[in-house]
Parts: sequence; C-alpha cells; structure tokens
Amino acid sequence: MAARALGPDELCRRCDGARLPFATTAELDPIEPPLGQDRAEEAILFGMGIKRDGFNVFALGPPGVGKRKLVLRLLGERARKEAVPDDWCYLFNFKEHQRPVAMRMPAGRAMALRADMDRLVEELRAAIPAAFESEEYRTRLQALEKQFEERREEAMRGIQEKSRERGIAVLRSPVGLALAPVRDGEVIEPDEFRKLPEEEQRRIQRDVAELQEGLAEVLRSMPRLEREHREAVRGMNREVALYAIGHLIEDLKRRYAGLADVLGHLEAVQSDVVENIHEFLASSEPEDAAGQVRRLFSETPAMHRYRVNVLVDRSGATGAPVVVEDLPSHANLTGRIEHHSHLGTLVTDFTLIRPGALHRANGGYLVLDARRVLAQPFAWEDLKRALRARELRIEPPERLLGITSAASLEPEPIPLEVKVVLAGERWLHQLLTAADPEFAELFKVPADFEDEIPRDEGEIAYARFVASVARAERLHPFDRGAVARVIERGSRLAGDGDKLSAHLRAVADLLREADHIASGAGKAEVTGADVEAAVSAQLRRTDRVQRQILEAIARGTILIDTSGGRVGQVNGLAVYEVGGRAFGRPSRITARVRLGRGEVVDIEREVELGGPIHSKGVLILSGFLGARFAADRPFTLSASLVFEQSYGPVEGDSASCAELYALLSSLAGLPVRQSLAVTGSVNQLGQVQPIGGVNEKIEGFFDVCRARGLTGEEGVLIPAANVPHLMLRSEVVEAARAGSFRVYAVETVDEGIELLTGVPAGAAGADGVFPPGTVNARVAARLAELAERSRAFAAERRGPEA
Amino acid sequence: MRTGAASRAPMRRILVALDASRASRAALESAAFLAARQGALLEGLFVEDVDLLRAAALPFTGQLALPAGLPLPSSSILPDLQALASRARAALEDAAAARRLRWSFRIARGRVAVEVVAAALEADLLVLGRGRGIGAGPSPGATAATAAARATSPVLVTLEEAAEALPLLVAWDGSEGAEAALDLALRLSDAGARAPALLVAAEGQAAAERLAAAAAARAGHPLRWRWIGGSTPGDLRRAAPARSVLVVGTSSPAAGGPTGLERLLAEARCPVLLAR
Repeated sequence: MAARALGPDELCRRCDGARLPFATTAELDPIEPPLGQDRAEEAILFGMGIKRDGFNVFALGPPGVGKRKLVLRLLGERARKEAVPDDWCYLFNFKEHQRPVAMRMPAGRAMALRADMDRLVEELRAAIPAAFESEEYRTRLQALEKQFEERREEAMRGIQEKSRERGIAVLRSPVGLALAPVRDGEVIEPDEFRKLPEEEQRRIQRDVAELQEGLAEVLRSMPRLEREHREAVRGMNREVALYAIGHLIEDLKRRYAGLADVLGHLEAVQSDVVENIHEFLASSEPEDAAGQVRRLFSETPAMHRYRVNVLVDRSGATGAPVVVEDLPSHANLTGRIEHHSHLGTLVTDFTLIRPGALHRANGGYLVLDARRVLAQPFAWEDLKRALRARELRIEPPERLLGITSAASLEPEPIPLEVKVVLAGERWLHQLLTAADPEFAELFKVPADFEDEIPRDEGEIAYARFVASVARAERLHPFDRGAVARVIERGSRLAGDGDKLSAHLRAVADLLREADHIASGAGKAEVTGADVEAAVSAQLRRTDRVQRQILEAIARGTILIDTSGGRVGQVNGLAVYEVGGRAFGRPSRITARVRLGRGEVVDIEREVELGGPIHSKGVLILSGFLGARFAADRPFTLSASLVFEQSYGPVEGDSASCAELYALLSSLAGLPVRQSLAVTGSVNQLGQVQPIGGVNEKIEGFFDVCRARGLTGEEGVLIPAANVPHLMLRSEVVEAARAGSFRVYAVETVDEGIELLTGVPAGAAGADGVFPPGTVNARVAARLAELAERSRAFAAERRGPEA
Repeated sequence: MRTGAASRAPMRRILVALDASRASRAALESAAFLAARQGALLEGLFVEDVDLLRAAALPFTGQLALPAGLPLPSSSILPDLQALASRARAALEDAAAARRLRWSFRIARGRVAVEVVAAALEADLLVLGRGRGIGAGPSPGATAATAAARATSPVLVTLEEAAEALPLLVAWDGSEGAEAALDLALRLSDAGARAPALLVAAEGQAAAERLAAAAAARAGHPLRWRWIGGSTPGDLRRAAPARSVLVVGTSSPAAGGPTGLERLLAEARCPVLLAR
C-alpha cells in the first residue's frame, strides 16, 4: 500500500461557524468553568464529604485548567450548607503564665466577651479605687493599724516597764536599739558607773543582759506581728475588693451562664483581681518611680491579663469557612506570636498571638497552592503536623530550629478539624508521592484534572465559556465565526482535532486579545478575523528564536536541502520549546555504513547528547534491519547515524523513521528526495508509530520550504495514526489545497521509503527473496555483499585451511 | 492683737534637723523647698546623742540591730553616728545644690531635743521629720515632738513624705495663737505659694462666718474657709486631709496645751506647722 497524500480537509478539522446554533455569544447562557472535569469534580466532592482522617484533596493538573475555580465553587456550595464553627480565643493563664489558655465559644460570642472584659476592666478601675478610698475603708484600715501599733506597743511595753523599774533606758542607736543604765534621766557616764559599788555594777550588768535578751525576743516577734498585720490588711482588702467587684463579675457570669469555660475564667479573673488589687489602686494615683519601674518590668501588666485575644471571630458568618491562603508561610499557616520592644528587649504576651489560615479555616476548608507551601520554610512540615495531630500548635521558627530564644509562649493547642485542598501540577503530586511517605496518608484523594476535553461534546460548552468570559469581563459579543476560530484554536492547543484544550486560561487570554483587536477596529462584535489576528499576534510575539533558525537555514548556516536527492540523508523534524512556545524545524539526519559487526552507532548517544528514548529508537533500527535482512546470515553492518548541526540534547524516538530511511538509502545507494521531511517512530516490524508535536513539525518544514518557494514537490511524511491530530495553520492547508505542499500519511517503512526514493520497496517472496531492483532487494544485496566480504576477510586473517 | 504685716518679712534662716532617716530626708526636702522660696540660708544640724555615746562607752552594753534584733557590740555606735552624719551632710549638700541654696552644716553633741531647740533660737523656722518608732520605744518621732513643743521658733514637722507645695490649712478660732498661725501661713505663701485656707472652729455657722471675715480682714484679701465645728486637737486631726499642711498656733486652744500639742504632732496624718 502506498503512502497517502492527505486532502486539505484532513489537515485541519475546521469548525463550521455556520453550523453553530447562535449568531453571537450574547445569545448563550454562561457556563461555570472548568469544562469537562467530571472526574476531578467527583473526587473533590468525595473528599469533602468523607469525614475520615487523611481524606484531604490534592487537585492535580496543569496550570490554567481551572483547578482553583472548581475547588472554590464546590467548597463554597457545600460550606454554605454547613454549620458555622465555633469562635476561638486565647486567655491569660493565671496558673502558668507562659501557657495561654485556648477557649472555644459559640460563633460570634468571643467578640462580645472581649468587649465585656474590656468594659469590666474599665469598671474595675473606677469601682476598686472608689471602694478603697471610702471613709469606711479608711476607718477600718486605721483600726487595723492602730491594733497593730497596740500589739507592738504591748510587746515593747513589758520590756520598757522592766527597764524603767531597773533604771535602764532603751536608746535608739543608728542601727537599732541599745540599753544603758540611767540616772536623773541621763545615761550614767562610765566614770560614775565605775564608782558604783561592785554589787550595784554587777546588778546593772545582769539587768542589762537580761533586758537585752528580752528585747531581742520582742524584736524577733516583730516580723511575725508585721506579717499578721499584713495578712489582716490583705484579708480586709480582699473582702473590700470582692465587695467592689463581685456584682460586676456576677453580671458577666449570668450573661455567660452555660459556658463553663467562660465561668471558670471569670472565677480566675476575680481571684486575680483580688490578689492584685494594688495594681488598680496604683493606676488611680500618681505613680512613684519605683511603681513605674515595677510596672515597666512586670510581664503582663494588670488589666492586660483580663483581655480576650479573639483569634477566630465568626460573627455574621454563614456556613463553614472556606479560606484561601496565597502566602502559606509558616506564620500565615499556623499562626505566630508577635513581640514588641520593651526596654530594649522583645517581649510578648497572650494578646500578641495571631491566627494562621488553619485557625480561620478550622471547622471548614483550606485551599492552598502546593508549590507555594513547599517553597515556604517549615510550611509543609507544619501543615502535615497539624493534620496528623489534628491540633493547631503555634511554634516559633527558632524553637523548631532549636535556636535558643528569649522566653516565649507555649499557647495551648487548638483542636483542628479542617479539610485541606492542595492544588498543584501533576509532577508535584508525583514528587510528593514518591518522596514523602506521609503525603499519601494525609492527602488520600487525588482530583486529577483533564488536559483536554472531547471536541464533539465540548464545542457548545466552549462557546458558552466564550459567552461567560465576554459577559463577565464586558468584552464584545463573539460572533459564530469568532467562536469557531476559538474552537479550532482550542483543538490546536490540545494538539488534536478531536479534542479541545482544557487550559481555559490561555483561551480566555485569546478572547481578551481578540476583543482588544476588535475594539481597536471599532467593531461591535468580535469576528473570526479578530481571533485569527490575535492568534497570529500571540505567535509573532514569541517567534524570535524560530525566525532566527529560519534565517540561518535560508542563509545556509544550517544546512537543509529542500530539493534534489541525497543518498543517506533525510530531513528529520524536531520540536523545540522556548519560553512556552513550541515550534518545529527540520534537522538533517545522515547515515553512513561500512563493514562491521552488526551495530548501529548512535553518535548522539556516543557523545551523551542522546536521551534514552532516542537511543532506544536507534537500537530498534538494528532489530528491524537484522530481522528483515540478516535473519539467516551474519549482520556485518556497521552504521553511524547523526543529527547534523545539532549541539544540544536529542530526546524522543520521533526521528527513528527518518534514521531508518537514511540507513536504507545508504545501504541501497538510492538518493532520498530532499523536498520531503519525515517524522514518526518505527518498531521492529517496520510499522510507523505516532509521535507528538505533529502540527509544529509540519509547519516547521513548511515555513522553510515556503521561504525558498514552494514547487509542489515539498511535503512531510507523518505517521497515519497522527492524522486525527492535524490542526495545521491555514497557510499550510491552503498550500495543500493548491497542490504546492503535501502531507503524506504513512503506515509502514516500506510506504515511506518508496515515497522518498521513488523506487518500490519490494516485498519478500515465499523464498524470502525481494524482487530485483526494489529498495529492499538492493539493501539485502548490499548486506549480503558485506557479509561475504566479512567472511572473506575473516578467512584471509585465519590463513589457508589445513 | 498682733499686727500681721511686720511678721511677714521673708525668712532668713531655716534650720533642719538631720539624722539621715527617711523622715529626716523628707524634712530636708521640705526645708530646701521653703528656703528656696524665701531666699533663706539652709542650716543643717546633726546631733550626736550624748546618751548613746555614754552607752557606747560602758563596757557591758550592746545594741540590737533592727529589725531582726541581732546583737551588735556598742563600740560601733560612734562610727555609726559619724557615718550617719556624713550621709546627712551629703544629703544636705545635694539638696542645696539642686536649688542653688546657701547652706551650712553643723554637728552638735548633746541631747537631741535640747540641741535642736537651742540651735533653733536663731532660726526663723525649724523643720523636723517625724518618723515611726518601734512600739512605745524611743523614736525620732517622739524626739521631734518634744523638740517641736519646746522650741521658740516656728516649727514644721513633716512626715515621711516631703511637704512641698501642699496647701496650708490654718486652724482658725480668732485667738492670738490662731493669728500667729495665719500670719505665718501668709508669710510663707507671700513668696508665691497658694493662699492659705482656714479650718474655722466656731460654735455655729454664723460665728464661723464672722471669724472667717476677721481672718480675711487680717490677711487683706478673701480666704477660702471651712467650718469644722469644734477646736480640739482631735477635731483638727480629722479635718486636715493627708495632703495638706496644718498650721496651728501653739498658744491657741486648738493646740490643746503642751500635752495636746505633743499628741497632735504624734498622730496627725499630715505635716504640722506650729506658729508661736
């Protein structure tokens, strides 16, 4: 069977705008993107619905297919119907200051509690000083002080009386008290003392010693008396404070009846206020320096302790939260503890605990970009730890690193119930699956997005998508011709005439650009010509490298023949991708053969420029040649293959057909038509197999030939299986229609070599012999000749047989 | 009736008794404040208590350190007194330097009350601090009260807080002693302080108004006043708030004689200024 030249209609599956059931997109109902992602949608719904650990979702697919849009739409629809989760706040821990207490409250009540506590503090600041400045309090305090004075006096009185009776005075010395004998109200001078009878002196000395001991005993009892006095004052203060604040606290308790945690906290606040009543009194009076210093250095100033740090406020919320965190840093994800500068050091307290996205999403859903999570230090580990432990623990990074840090807080962890949806490319999913054993445990639901959608069902959906974008972004309506071109472009982006690209972001950009062009021309509707102009403009913006290569070919810097015939030389086709733009270009492939040991040398591989798939393709050639031509004799060929003027890596097997044709040409000694280029891979049976990038490759050769002037001889051989993928540019299609350029669908190597050499390939007869004059016969003869030479050469080396 | 105008000349010498206690520091601050106002010489006096020195010289006496009652040898009393005097002098020097005052410092040896009273003979004002004692034991408070009661010059007895810029409240019953108190208050306030106010002791409101009018006439301008009913030392103690200076004439009935005066000084919640 001969290679078939494709008709122009086969080169591009056009969309007939006239068949579209609308005049412009203004008539169409919009459609919510993405399109054709039923499987991903099902997976996301499943992941949201299942209430089991680890069933978090990884939405995987290329950028621009609408992963986030779909996720947010589905989450939004579901979250609306779910209960509003609780508020969360942090409170001062009166028992362990470094460990703030986390408290859950019904939605919307945390802010009310915060306001109530702020108001309470204000009221305390007024009520407590008022109670302590009252006349009643002063009177009671004076009574206590008087009682204390009396007790001290009572304690001293005994000693004083004894001293007086024995003529001893108690004197105040610079550091304490001294006892000395007196006469006439004055201390006896030493000389006078010595004049006293010895008995008298001894008595006085005894009395002084005895009294001194008694006095010491009394002094030792003074601290106890003072302590008891302080206790009594403190007890009274407590009583007065309770009287002053009790009703305020009781009011709050009534308001929060039923919330055991709040009631417990209010109890703790009451106790703390009573214990620290001086802090309220200090604030009502001018503060002395010592007080100021005390206040400056106190860890958590009074009043501050009673505040409520509302971490999550659900006031006015409807449904469960759906949180998107675009900067999923460690702090933004799990929260942070801020510090402020205080006397030159950084200090913190529970009011400086800030929530992260996980706090806000608790009880609902969190959407994150996988790549960004992985790019942020600690973020991935934080996320996993939180999901694994099902609790939110705020850890400063320096603690995670084990770096010594200033004393910080250890806030009580908050129970976490959240569904996380990570969105990312497929390779990220594969990487995480392979590299992180925990990933599969925590993200059990993959939502795999399609790259393409079927064109037959997708055309109308595409049209509605155009309508949606036009309406949402106030673009001009697109007429049916414009929509048809958009659909064709969608197929070209998919690289398949039967498919449409699911990369709707690129399509939306095309719509915006076409609208811009139409607006510039003052049109009321966007037409097919505007879309085509937009496509051309997109291509032109990114074709610098392609133009350079074309120029190099035109100037003969890159050697490509497009006419005549050459033995062992075939135009292969390669696809390059630069800055997201793919384009094809011809590349000369040559083959040389000589006597050898049955090997095909891939020069690209020898110099480590060939990838493994390319090498595999070359090795297949040996298999094909050996099986077809040397099944029953030694394969004594040595051939070398090379991509001429290729200075970079070569990968893929799409050139294996071209390489085989070059080999066959070289072996048969038949020239190959240089006006044709070849793409396709080949198997050991000589069947031509499909390749990728067929459109770019054809267009790449077409551009070279057109630049030199099309003669009608030029064309490209492609695998027949690639025909459905053809979505060629209109210039190529028109050239084919005019008969100046052809695309041939090839199914076997024999079809291809016939076309390239103009000589029949020749099928082996029952005896295994190819018809004379055919390509295969010439190849077989050449191989037989090489085998014969090899044998003769071997015999020559061995010498005459005995 | 004395005439007030003659006794309103600025003060030339203000004597402050120093012992480096907290009360004494407060007295020093108050004295320095007044000396600056009046442009007076600030004189500091430190008395080495002769009784203590004698006690130190007796071979068998000792002392007990406050507050724990640890026994110490009496031989340290003299060096302790000298150290105390040095600190008192340094404090005086600092206070005077802060206000650019003329000042002098003297150490006397004798009985504290006697020496202070003697030194105050030449002064226009004696300033003393009243500290807290140990129970009924000897205390600077008691000494201050005794000295204040015996001195012939006006005496300001401060508490443990300085009495700077506090309002002067004159115990006013129209007596000669009260006139002295009013004159002294006016004399101090002439130098820019707030005008004194009156605590009027009278049988009834009408009598109080008459007395207040008499005081205003004496002052030469209206005075704020408050009727406090009785005029005993107890009435005065209750009427004078903590943040004020109570001005009392020693010979007025409100002073209650020497005993009442001593009690007033010992128990007042605020500084007391005694006028002679």
